[in-house]
Parts: sequence; C-alpha cells; structure tokens
Amino acid sequence: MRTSRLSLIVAAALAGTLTACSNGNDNNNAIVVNPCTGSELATTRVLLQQLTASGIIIKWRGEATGACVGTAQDKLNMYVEATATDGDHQEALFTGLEPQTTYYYSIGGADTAPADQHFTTAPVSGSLPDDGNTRIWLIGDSGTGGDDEREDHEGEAAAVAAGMQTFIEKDGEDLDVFLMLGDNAYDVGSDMNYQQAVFETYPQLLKTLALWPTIGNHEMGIGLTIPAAGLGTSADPYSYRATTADAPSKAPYLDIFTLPAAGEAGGVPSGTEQYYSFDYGNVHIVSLDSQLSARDDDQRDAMRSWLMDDLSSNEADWTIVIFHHPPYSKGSNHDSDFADTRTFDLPQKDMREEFVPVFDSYGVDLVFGGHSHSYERSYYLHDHTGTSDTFSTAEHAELIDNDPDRPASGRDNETYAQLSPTSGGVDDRVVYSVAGNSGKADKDAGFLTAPEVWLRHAAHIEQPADNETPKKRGLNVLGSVIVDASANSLVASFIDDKGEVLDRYTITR
Amino acid sequence: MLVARAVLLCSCLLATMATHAHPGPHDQLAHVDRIIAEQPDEQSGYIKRAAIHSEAGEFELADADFNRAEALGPAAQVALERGIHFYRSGEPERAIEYLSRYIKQFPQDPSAYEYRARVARDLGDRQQAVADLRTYFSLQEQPNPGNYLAASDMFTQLQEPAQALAMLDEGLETLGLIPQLQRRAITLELAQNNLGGAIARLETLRTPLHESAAWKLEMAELLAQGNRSDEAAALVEAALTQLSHLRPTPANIELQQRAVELQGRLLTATDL
Repeated sequence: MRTSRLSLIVAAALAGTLTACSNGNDNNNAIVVNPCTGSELATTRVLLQQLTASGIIIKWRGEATGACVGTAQDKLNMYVEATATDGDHQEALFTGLEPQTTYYYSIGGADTAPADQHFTTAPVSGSLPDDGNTRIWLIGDSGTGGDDEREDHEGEAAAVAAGMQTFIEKDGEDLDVFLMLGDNAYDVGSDMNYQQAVFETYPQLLKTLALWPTIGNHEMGIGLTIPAAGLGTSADPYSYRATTADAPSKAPYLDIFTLPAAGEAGGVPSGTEQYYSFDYGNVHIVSLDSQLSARDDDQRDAMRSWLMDDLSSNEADWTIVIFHHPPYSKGSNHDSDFADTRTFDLPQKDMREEFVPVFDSYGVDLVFGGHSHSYERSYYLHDHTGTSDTFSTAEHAELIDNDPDRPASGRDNETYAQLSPTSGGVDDRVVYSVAGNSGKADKDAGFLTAPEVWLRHAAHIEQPADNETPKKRGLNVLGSVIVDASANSLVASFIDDKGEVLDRYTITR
Repeated sequence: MLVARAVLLCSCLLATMATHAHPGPHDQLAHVDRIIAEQPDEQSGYIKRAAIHSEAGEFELADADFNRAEALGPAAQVALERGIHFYRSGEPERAIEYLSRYIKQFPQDPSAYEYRARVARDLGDRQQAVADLRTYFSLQEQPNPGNYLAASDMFTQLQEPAQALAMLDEGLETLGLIPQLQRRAITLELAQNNLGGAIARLETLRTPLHESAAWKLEMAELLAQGNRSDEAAALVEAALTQLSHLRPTPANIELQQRAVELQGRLLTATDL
C-alpha cells in the first residue's frame, strides 16, 4: 500500500497547539488537552516503516484505530488516527518529528507507552548520526522461523539474531537500520508465513527498528508451471498463489510492507513498492526487485532507468544496494553460471549483465543478495559481467601495487579505497556479497552445483574461517552481516550465530 | 559421464522438489510428464505441457497437447494459452480467434487483451489494438511503470503518438510523477518536435530528481536547442560546480565532459 494512497487523517496535532477557551477569570493561560486518552490495545503484529528524520509509519494488526507518540514514555502527546489498509492492517503516519530523537509510542491511544515500544528518528539526509556511525543489520533467506521449515531449521533464524546481539553487546553500538534480503518467510511468503517467520521471530526488533525488505522468490508463492514454492517466474505481483487451489492474488509482501514508492524517504520516486530507495544519514540504500520486475523486459528496463536517475540524484557518502538474486554465486543449487539454462535463476544473469554496469558507473559501494544459503563476498570488482570463467584479477579486481597476483582482500592493511587506485582515483568499484544464510546454511553443493566448484566462485575471496584445503571462497554456516558506516569508512562484518566475526573488510574514503 | 550426470540430475530433481531446487525448462517438462502420467485425463497437465513446448518453439508438440486438452475439458480453458501459442507460431488470425474466444468467456482477465492488442497491431488493425490496450489497462488492478511503457511503445508502433503520450500521462496520474514515464514522454515530445513540451516535462522532474547535476545538464541541453543560451549556460555552470563537489564516478566524469562540451558550444554560439 503506497503512502500516497493512505490519506491518513491527523486527528490531533501536538497537544500543546490546542488551547481552551477563557476560564472566565480573564486568565488566558492555555489549557493543554492531551488527545492521548485511550488504552493500549493488543496487537498480533507491529511494524515500523518509512522511518526518516521527520516521520514514521507505525503499522499493526489489531483492534486499535489510532496511535500516540511522544518523547517521554509516560507523556505521549501526539495522536494519529490510523487508516485501515490491505491485509487487515492499520497504519498511522506521524510527521513533524525531530531528527535523531527517541520517541515512545502506544497503540490504541494511551498516554503511556509500553517500555519496549520506541524508535529513534534518522539523522537528516546527508549528515552523520550523533555517534558518528550508522549500523546496519542485513539478513538473507531468514524466513525459516515458521511451521513450514521448523522441523529442519528449528531456532536457526533466532540463533542468528542472538549472534548479532552478542556482537553488538561487545561494543555497545545499537542497530540503526534493519534490512531483509528476500525469502523472508518460507515457504510461500503467505501472511501466516510472515506472521511466524518475521513477526514472531523478531518481535522486539520490529518494535524499535524500521524494516526495509526486498522481494525473494519465496515471496511469490508457488510456480505456475511447477507448483512448488519459490518457482514463480511471473512478473505480475497479482499472480501470487500459495497453493494450487488458490486463485491468483496480490503477493502478501505488498500488503505487509509500506514502502516509499513516492520517494518519501529521500530516494527518487519509483511508482512501485517493488523497488525503492531511502536515505539514512550519510548512507543511501536501494532495494531492487530481482524477482518480479526482473522477469519482464519492460519492467526491468523501467527499474534500470529509475535506478540510474536515483543514483544520479544521490550525493550520500555511501551507497548500498540490495536485491535477492546474487549476480555472482557458487551456492548450493544456485550457481550464477547456470542461469542461461535455468529459468528460475535467470535474474542472476540479468542483474549481472544489466545492472552491474550501472553499479560500476554510479558510485555504488556494496551490493548484497541472498538466494544461496551461504556467505560469499567478492573482491573489489569492476566491469565483470560474465560468467566465473571470464573473471580475471588483472581486469576485474582491485590490486596491490597493480600486481594481478595480489588482488586486495579488503582486510587488515589491504583496505579498499572508494576512489580506486587501480582505476586511477575513480569511484568505479563494488563489493558483492551473498548473505543468504540467516535462516539456514547449506550442507553441500546440492544436485545442480558441481561439488568441486561449490563456494569457489573465482570473483569471490577465500575465507580463512573455512576448514578445507584449499579454502573455499564462501562459508556454509549460519550468520548475518553488520555494516558500520562512518564519515570515512564502511566496514562490513560477517557474524556467525555465536557472534564471532568470520570475515571483515573495509572501504575508506 | 555427461549422460550419467544428466540422468542423476533428473532423478534427483523429482526426489528433491520439496527442497526448493530451481530446475530449467527440461526439468519442467519432466515434472509435467509425471503429472500427466499420474492423471492422464486431467486437462490442466496438457495445457501446461503445451505451453512449455510452445515457449520452446516446438509448435507441433504443443498443438498435439492443446488438441488433447480441448478433448478433455472446456475449450475456453485452453483458449488463452493456445491463442498465445498461435501468436508465437506466426498464425495471427487463429491467435485472434482463440484470444477472442477466451475473452468472451473471461472478459475480466486483462492478459488476453494485451496479447490480442499485439496481434491486432501486427495485422494492422489499429482500432482493435487501441481498444484492447485501453481495456487491458482498465482491468489492471495496479499497473507497474513498465506496463505503461510497454503500452505507450505499442501506440508509438501503431503511429498513434498522441495516444502514446496519453498512456504515459495516465501512468503519471496513477503512479505519481516518476522519471521512468516522464523521460519516455520527453523522448516522444522531442520526436514530435515539441521542444517546449519536452522542457516543461523535464521541469516537472526538478524536485523528484533533487536538482541533480544530471538534471541540470539535460535541461541545459534542451534549453540550448531552443536557443535559450543564457539560461542553458547558467545551468551548465551550476552543473559543473555541483559536479566539482561529487566523487569522480564514471557517470559523473561523463557528465562533466558533456557539460564542458556544451559550455564550449554555447560560448562559440555567443561569439558568432
């Protein structure tokens, strides 16, 4: 549901703006009438959307028809009546908030917020957060927390979240941004799948952080030709079916999320929730749609055209792009070299051939995908649009001292520079990462990827934490990624489910 | 070795469908073959297999399956896929016949109108093509930007530039002011020698594109075409100043080169 369609009604503004009539004693003191006089009501899901420096959408499912916010937990004073939206949701849009300010909220109109319901607004676009760092959490293919995959992956998504918590407790730096890389709710992205795999798996995070997702193949239910989960190839978001008995309908993803199609969060308007962008301080984040829009030439061209305009209009220090199908992967059953013959993975090829040149040209720093249930990440790449056998460090990787035998790792004293020395000081290099192991990790190559190439894409870097000889260029363990963006550095860390850092690389500026 | 591997892949496919493997067209055929073997009197299996054959260019195999499907159930259920099949196989009259049959039975399904519009266009029946495109859009619940671009392109191919622009404007009205559609409209305005219209449309993108250096340069180029050299020069100057503060990406370097080139042309024109 696009915000422009919400027609949200502000029932009352800040209480301080409401003054009563004279009290008869010629005493003109204003009497403050607090519109937050209701009660906290039960919800079955709560979600924060479109968090910016000055606004937010609080979204829930439940009986409440309005919400209150305020800067003091027991003195909420701004009430907004909600609009009922598709999927039996209620949405309340709050505007006029102050940047980098913590607000508490109640759902139902109480003047006191439950202790776990609060959020902090973003810094003004282009500026740094007060603490100098934007911390972003990325999880991919995390949707195993529900009944459909509980038997095989009980507790794995929660363990990854616990690993992240262990990591951030070490330095005390909280998360600012929460990104999902698709396949957010197995098996078919149904409303029930989302209820279990998202709302009941990350309930506390969702009450305090805005979630920004992208569409995976499992968001689109079952395929038309082969009625199995994740095999849809339609470009039409209204072609969603959870079972063969269902009539085609709109994908639940589009009801559950309220994404900034009209540029509400700092990006260029896209006209569709399937792809969008937003700013958080000095970071610009783009979510592309490699599942639906990429399936149709016209839709894909439109998305690419929009992307170029969006990136041309972006002056943030750092730019991160997310989409589900990784352009480079040697994951189990998801080998990006096979896309020519495998209809369902064609987006891997299309994104590589048609979007990688845009990332190179328009200053993108990091690209994250999922799909493969493992962790992989590339060298600092440039101009690599072919299959893995065409990769050459001399042509495509950042080098140390221009030595093709020494591609830079991004680690320790081999950090990457945003203005690439190898390119003569031009910003034309990108690190690509696969992080589709936040709900399950593959045990082997599967039956489509050859065992000898599994997690050994030539454009990916060897992982010291692997225990094979020679080491694989990927890790088949559970985990997630944390990105720390400051004024001068972008640090990406792969964290396992114990909170240990297994890979870390840095781009400086 | 290859054969052995292929056999292994096929057998594994069936065994592991539940693990969300992602097979290709031949694997799809194997799967549908299995469905047909299990339910040989079920119409839908033959329709699916016919569609796979048709998409692969195996038209005779597709026809055989379509015939079988028509014998097993309502012909209207087959009509859409068979109409698309005839469009693919270069039999437009039969495509029209089948798509019309489907539309008669399912008048609220937009997909058949889009295909019938394509076929009508190919047959030179502009009136039918335009009418079907209109119906197609009226039935779309929430068209995407690409839908409007595709429809606008069809109107252009039908040599209906006003309709092509109207389709984009309808999209801009429905989806909001988005650059994907407005840019195409600018291209159409320029093709119609309507420079003023193109400039007016680009002006609407000033705010959505955050007055980027790229926007400034594009506007300067249009203004220069309209002999509004002073305004163009001022925008080029502003674009160059803006670019001097931005990182040297390939896109920004290319913009800078274009800006310098335009600046030179404008200076030369002033000197003359």
